[in-house]
Amino acid sequence: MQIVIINSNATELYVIHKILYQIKDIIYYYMSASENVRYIKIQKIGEGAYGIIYKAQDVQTEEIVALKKFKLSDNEGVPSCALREISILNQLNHPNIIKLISQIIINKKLHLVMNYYDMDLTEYLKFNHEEFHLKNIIYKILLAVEFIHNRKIIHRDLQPNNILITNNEPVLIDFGLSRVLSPNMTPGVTQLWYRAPELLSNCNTYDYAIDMWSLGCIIAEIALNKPLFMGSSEIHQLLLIKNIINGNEWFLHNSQFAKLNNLFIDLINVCISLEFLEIIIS
Amino acid sequence: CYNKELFDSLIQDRIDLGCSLANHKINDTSRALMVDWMIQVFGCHQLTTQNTFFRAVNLMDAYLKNTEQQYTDSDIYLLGVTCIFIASKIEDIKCFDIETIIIVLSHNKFSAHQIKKMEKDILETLNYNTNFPTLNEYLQYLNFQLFGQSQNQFVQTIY
Repeated sequence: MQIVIINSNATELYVIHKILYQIKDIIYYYMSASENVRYIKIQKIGEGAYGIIYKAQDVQTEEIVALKKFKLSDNEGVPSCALREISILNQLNHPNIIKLISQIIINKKLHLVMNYYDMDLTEYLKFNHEEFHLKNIIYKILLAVEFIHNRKIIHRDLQPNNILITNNEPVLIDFGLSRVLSPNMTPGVTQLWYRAPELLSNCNTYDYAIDMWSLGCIIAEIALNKPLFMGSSEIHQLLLIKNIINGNEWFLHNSQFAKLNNLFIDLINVCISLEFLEIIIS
Repeated sequence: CYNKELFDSLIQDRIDLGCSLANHKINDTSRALMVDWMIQVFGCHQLTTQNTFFRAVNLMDAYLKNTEQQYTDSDIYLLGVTCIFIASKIEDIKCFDIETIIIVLSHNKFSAHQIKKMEKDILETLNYNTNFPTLNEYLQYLNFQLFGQSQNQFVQTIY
């Protein structure tokens, strides 16, 4: 047996070595699998690119919670989006940002335990049109976004589906895409309708402005009761933006905005700033 | 923008990293060698930013400070490799995958299971608080305050 190994060349030895380690990994995997039954899953609420969200009940306190399960936690250790989300949520403590209760591992998969709210902004806008409440919601969202920007964190996935409403107070969720500001970042973030023009043109040195663009779109959606730009592709989206916003006083010529208050329009205009757009067009 | 608030949060989130080797049987020199090796690794790898290196070193210090286990000189290699793995996940666009970590960085000395176990250990010891401000962020803030706001052109070129 020994002679065979000596005669074989280095690459074969390397392959044997690798297979042995893989077998070791598999054995460890099955030895250390354990059951954790603190939370009982009731139903599936949503599914994203990074994981599945369940509605679940805590056995000990009988509280309803939301469980966020991450896919791909087997091959690469803890997934990077999970790492970023947990560390960022641990750092943030604000009434309008969701609180992370704990993180647990069930069947070798990482789960986040968070408070459960059953209504998001899109659903809320279908039934509630009271001006006082809407103003309050806009104000609170702005405060929450200011709070995270103060900590050098960009949310990068602001959209009405990621804003939950409870008792007419907004709660910001889903920090899976958010990260600390850095000189180089991926351009493919945010849902298409709320994506800023600098992201649409594949720029990777953006900053807080992309969150402000999404916020502007959300505020306009609250006011108009429908999304401002509904593009079907990146080029279509850019075209829509170019058609609606032409010049600094675009809102005066737009019939959609006729019924709105002046201050309100100013707010939208500040959020949807034109600086980047002019660079693209010229 | 946001300068004052940023400074407040930097002060608030600061964690103490001094005397991290007090409870362990690790030499100062072996830690220094580890840091030196990390500089080489990040120097060769094109896609990382500066902050990844600082994050990796600070994660290592924070773990050594908070853990209850006692480590010796021979363990620091595994620790350093795992810290690079975690820091790269947090900071980079395209992070090191586990294959490169095992084959290129650790020359098949460790298995994937060992690295994942160490990673879990580090994250649970730090209670997943991996987003603390690194040395680099304080330096950048100071740099901006000293040189960035000046009207003088020569001072601005330093920044």
